[in-house]
Amino acid sequence: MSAYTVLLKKELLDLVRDTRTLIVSLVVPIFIYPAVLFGLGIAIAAGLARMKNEPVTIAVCSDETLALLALKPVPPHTTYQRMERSEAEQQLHEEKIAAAVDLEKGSRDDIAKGSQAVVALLYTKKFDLSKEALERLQPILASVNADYLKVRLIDKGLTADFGVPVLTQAKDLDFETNLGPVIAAGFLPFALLVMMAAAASFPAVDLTAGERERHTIETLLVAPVRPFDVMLAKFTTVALATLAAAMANLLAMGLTFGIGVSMGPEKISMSFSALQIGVLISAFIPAAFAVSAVFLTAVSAARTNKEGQSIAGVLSLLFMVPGMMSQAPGVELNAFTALIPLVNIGLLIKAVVLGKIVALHVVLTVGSVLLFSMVGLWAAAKAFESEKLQFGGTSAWLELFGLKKRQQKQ
Amino acid sequence: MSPDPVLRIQGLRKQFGEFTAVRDVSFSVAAGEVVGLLGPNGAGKTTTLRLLAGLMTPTAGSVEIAGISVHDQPLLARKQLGFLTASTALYDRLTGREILTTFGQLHGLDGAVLEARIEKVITELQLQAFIDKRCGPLSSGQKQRIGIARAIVHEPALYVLDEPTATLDPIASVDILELVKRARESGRAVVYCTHRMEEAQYLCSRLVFMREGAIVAEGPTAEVLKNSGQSTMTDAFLHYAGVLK
Repeated sequence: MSAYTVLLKKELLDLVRDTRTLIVSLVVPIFIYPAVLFGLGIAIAAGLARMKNEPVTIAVCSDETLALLALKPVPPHTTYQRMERSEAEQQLHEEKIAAAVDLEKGSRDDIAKGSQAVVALLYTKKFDLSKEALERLQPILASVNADYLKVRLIDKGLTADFGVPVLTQAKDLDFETNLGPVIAAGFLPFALLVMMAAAASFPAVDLTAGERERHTIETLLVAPVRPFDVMLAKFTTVALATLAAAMANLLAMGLTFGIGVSMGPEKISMSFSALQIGVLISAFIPAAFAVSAVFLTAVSAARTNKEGQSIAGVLSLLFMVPGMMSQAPGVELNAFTALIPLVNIGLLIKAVVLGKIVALHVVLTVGSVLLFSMVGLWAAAKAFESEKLQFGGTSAWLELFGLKKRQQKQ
Repeated sequence: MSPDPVLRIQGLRKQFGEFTAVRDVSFSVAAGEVVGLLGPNGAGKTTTLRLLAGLMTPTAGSVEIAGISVHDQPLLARKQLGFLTASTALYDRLTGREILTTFGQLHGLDGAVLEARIEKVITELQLQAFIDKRCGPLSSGQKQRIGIARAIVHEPALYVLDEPTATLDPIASVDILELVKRARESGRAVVYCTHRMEEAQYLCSRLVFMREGAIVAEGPTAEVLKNSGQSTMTDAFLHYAGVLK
């Protein structure tokens, strides 16, 4: 059995007995997707339903306005209250009323003469009940407008269609009735990159800074093994933990979206084809290598577990950046973005979920991330072979990469 | 001293920038000999041991274990080395047996030979009661015994034991001292680092005393004691450490 195999076996045994890593890698994904899709959906729906039943007071700023609103029934749980506009604005600022309606003076005459009346709807996004009031008022005023238009058109001997010369009917050919892939494409790249970073951080810190703090690294390095083998076993272990987390996330998401939920006429569900799963896995493997290499290299500078966790914490936050960049409007996977490590992984996941797989982009993404991983691996290997980093030194990292002159052997 | 020592250190020097941690240290240890490496904290003992094990590259000088250069052939040299660091270093989530198996395999042992070696150290160090338990919850004494077993499971020619009894009670310490005696009798070379002077006097045929990175006294134990002009080993330690004049 090679030293690498023995070390890998040891590292994996140690890892699978680490409850904390197992929870982050495998258990959290099982809950996060149902929580996001079902829990959040239920919470939002409950919130909206509650808002619909909330009593709302709307200020009406003139008798003319009151007369206009009286053309339609008062919405449920809504009270109109007559007050002057200045007072209405004051009370709206103080959140005593939810909105105010003010029809310009003489507007009803303007309407009767065939001119246009202007009605001001005063509200604030500062509190949710005001937005709810706006939602209750808009259909009423739209309905009043439609009624007046209809009368005007009939007076002129025209049909209702005359007032709408061009009727727009937008139709989403792919996701008209099922928003599942769109929603998944919106958060899966971010969630996966963050979850992979979280899964890599614990073992990376434990196997480097943790070993140094516990002094177990010394016992390994006095055995007849090359530091490179020690590092490679650690790298493989962290990469496997990261990959396991990615697969657990994919499985949990697949099951959650496979069951799906219905929201009115729209459904939220999705399933992956064999090709999509294949491409996702081919992206996860280099991504796991890259994430592991980044974490191992960064935390190998830490002398204690605590220091390692601090570095890993910052790094985990940084891993949100490629996840967020992949969600920026107008940023899609192409021959250029496929060369930006980690951002390309986020974009590839998004493209795969939306069913937009381009072979060249997949190859460029996988290739560039593998190259990035190899550079990371080289850096991690240098760190493991450095006695300065093993046993401390203020300028160890500078010397490691030739930024400071190494001490000459005498 | 044997003409072919198991450990030969010549002109060893280690500098960290302007600071010289080890300066021109030379000594050797023959088969069947226990040499005590003594000195106050900061004397350069740990750095010397790290250089000896190839964990650090010397600025100058050389180390040979069983005639093999640690610098040129570190993997081969380490096969002859059993190294116990000062701090008890075990993997908390592995059992003692798993640790012994791992380190035995890293030294190239496998199958029945490895099994036999593991059983032998279990018996020698009386590990039966806890060898199959995870190391995390074990007492420091139990951990130290597993640490020693880990260091010697491959039956190396050279034992380097850095404060092996530091965390042990007197009863457990006696077991370790007896183990070192048996190692000496079976022809192993032993470098024994300790702050317990009675242990050094009991075990070591020779002493190497370090201070500020350099050897300040070296020779047979009785001679080193005599040259200090003191009557006890503790006073001799204080004398060589520069505390007693």
